[in-house]
Amino acid sequence: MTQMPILLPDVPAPGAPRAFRFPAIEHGGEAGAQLRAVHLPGRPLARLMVVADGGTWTEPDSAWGAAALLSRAFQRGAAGLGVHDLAVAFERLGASPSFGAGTDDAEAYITVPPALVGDAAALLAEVVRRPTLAESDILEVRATLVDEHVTAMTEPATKADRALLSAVWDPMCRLSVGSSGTEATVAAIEPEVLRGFHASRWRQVPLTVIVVGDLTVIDAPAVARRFAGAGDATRTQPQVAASGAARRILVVDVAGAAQSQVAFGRPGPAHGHADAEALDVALSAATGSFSSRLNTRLREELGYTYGVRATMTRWRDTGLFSSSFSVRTDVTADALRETLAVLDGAIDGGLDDDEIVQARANLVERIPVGLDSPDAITTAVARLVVLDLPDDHHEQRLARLRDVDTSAANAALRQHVATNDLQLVVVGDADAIVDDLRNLDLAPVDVIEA
Amino acid sequence: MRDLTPAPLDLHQVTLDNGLRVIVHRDPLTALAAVNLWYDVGSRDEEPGRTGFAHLFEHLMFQGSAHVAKGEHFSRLEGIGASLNASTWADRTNYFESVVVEHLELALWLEADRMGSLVVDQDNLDNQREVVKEEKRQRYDNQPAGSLWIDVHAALFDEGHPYHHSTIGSMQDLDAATLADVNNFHSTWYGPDNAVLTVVGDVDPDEVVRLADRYFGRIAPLGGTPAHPDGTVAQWPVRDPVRLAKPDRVSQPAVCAAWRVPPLDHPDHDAVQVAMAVLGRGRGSRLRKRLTTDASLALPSGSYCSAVGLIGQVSIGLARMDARDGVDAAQLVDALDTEIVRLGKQPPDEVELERAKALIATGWLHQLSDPTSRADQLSRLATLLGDPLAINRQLDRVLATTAQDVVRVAQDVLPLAGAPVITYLPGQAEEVAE
Repeated sequence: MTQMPILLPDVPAPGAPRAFRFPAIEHGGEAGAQLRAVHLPGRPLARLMVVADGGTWTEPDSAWGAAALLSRAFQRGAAGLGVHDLAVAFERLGASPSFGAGTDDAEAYITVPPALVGDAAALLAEVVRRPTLAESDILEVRATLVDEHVTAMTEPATKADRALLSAVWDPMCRLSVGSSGTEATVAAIEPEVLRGFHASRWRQVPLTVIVVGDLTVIDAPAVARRFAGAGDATRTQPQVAASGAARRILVVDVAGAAQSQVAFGRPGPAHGHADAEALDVALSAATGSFSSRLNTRLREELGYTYGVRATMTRWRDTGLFSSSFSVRTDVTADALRETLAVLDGAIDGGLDDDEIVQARANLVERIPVGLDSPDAITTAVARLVVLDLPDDHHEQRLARLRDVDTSAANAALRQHVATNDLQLVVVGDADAIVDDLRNLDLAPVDVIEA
Repeated sequence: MRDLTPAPLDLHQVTLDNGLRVIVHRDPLTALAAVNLWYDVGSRDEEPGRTGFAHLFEHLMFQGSAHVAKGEHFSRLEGIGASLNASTWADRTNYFESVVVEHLELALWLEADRMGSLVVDQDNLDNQREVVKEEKRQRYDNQPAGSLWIDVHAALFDEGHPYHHSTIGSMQDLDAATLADVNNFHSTWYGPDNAVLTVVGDVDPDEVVRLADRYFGRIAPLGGTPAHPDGTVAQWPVRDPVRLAKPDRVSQPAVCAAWRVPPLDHPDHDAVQVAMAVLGRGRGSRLRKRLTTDASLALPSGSYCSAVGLIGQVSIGLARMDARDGVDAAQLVDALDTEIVRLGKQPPDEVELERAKALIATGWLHQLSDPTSRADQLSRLATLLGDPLAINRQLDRVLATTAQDVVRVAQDVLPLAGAPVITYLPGQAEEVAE
């Protein structure tokens, strides 16, 4: 008599596939407040987002960090309410608004039950269109942001990211410092400059209002009308400039650090590049996923790190390939040698069919998984707006991803990810790692100030 | 106050013959199936000399099982675009993946294979031991004030108490873990009768139960697990609590106060949550007003109060304040003490109470709105409270909390005289024992 196996050995086959469709986007609004609304019936929460052409590219050259500073200044008062009463007014609705500034745009959003979106919109419109921006408030948030910079720089990952940006980009390029600027650039922003920045990016310009939730409860056109305004926005052409430096290793000394924080990167293609999907597949296979070559080598085989992260950031006008991991101090040099060996191996020797099939499947199947929640859908709609993409962009991207083959992926990797100009940053105990790094003879090693 | 109570969830619950509790919530609004498994074992159950083991074991659950090779669990799920992870805490270990619904069966097969078998050799153990040690360095040892939770556990609970040590454990204990420990842990805790399986998605509940039975139903029950250690404390306030100042990599002083508070299943747990929200949740809270609006004493981003929902006879409340440039830590402690004393004398007014409850309610709606977190909450309530339908009553006690309840717990539970206070001061961090 045969014993019934405890566990079934055969891998189950998938069920019938369901076609992916990004939710329909309703277009509406009026002058100065374009509306994008997505109906998600029955959801207990809805998200309201306002998008402005007020990202870091639009900051005056003398005021890097103004967009981030404005994000904080918004919360200091509006609608006749001071900072405390304004916070209470929002929090009685169950939420605080969030404000963010990226490279291409600035956003304000709040998540509340659908029945409260109208009340939230009334407050948020006052905040972004007509904030108080009193001198004393601006000076207070400016001092706070400077302190936040100092505090953030005690975190190894922040220190590494900041050093990487200044290594990849030319010092005159806005991208050479993070979206919040630096202590020095923020400290130099005068209240009048910030008020002018607000006027040109939020007050006298069109905004886009995104509402995602149960539209049988939310009066989306009325929400958009709250944000109506007059005026035109001007878009200046950003001056993108890479540092042009050859491959180098920059060490930020933290005496006695418990481990080393590594970050590396180089400029990449802008959004909309024809190679975008092929490059995504290749990078996922090489460095970006848990099963990637680099994570498998450094984590699962060598036990050097908790994990490798990699991102291909694409803005309107340029892009950035970056990756990071933390690693045991005594194997820091070895981890860098392994990293370059993996990258060079993938670029020169190519990724194989199995790797490409796996990475492509991951990216294809991840699209519906990643676009399920109101928050994720709102963010995706905002990206369509900011990058002037069609409503069926995600379906188009899905089709392009499915078409990526091994040859195209490898070609994109060779085209866009050379290692001869890779900028490598290590935040760690210089005394313990610099000699080993120099002995690698991979690149010049310089110890720099953070 | 506006009605923020969510619509009740209709659940499908079955216990398989081997004791596996299966919970299904059919949600036609999502394209996903969120699969979530809670095992009723956490760091409170670790043996002396093996702190951090429950978490190390969680890593080993990804290293291979009877029909799944090392690395295959992740690669198979990545190949279907899944969002997946696992986590360990004092009271539990959970494993979860969200997949498009047509891949539900694969997710169940993978989870069943590692529940019913585990294939770990010395190389796997050594590899993941190093990975976990790097995780500890990354999240704790190399971060400013990174030892906060380790310090809080040690300051609130005496040695020998199940919550005395943090989930990450110590490097020495991680080094001491053996392959025999791994196999014993699996055979002691990882069985169907010590787990809850939840599936949320656009699924047929009967079909999910059929699949659960197909893949998990053949796994033998453990037949019982060791009792969780008793975490009873004599009183909520700590007698002679420490006032600890530690050099650290912070740029400005960071102050942390911690409390022993009533656990998740205690009638006063939610009153403490509301009191904490009045005191220090959100920009409109009393403490934030004192620290960041009335004066520039603390960074808004680094100032908060909250309580966590442990189940073992006691739980933990926490306040953190990061000083602004030039502000002394004592000023922050004074501000906190002043506001706690005031809360014990001056009840929150109607607006304060409405604000606090609305923030808690919306936070709860966030948990319910996402299938992945909803599945986790269902597993959590089934495991810790024995009743997943408690998900429909979670806000009842919060919304019923009165101003006098807040005053009472502020007087009985929150006085700073019964709370350890740990201050991280700019300087060289103490070396971490390897």
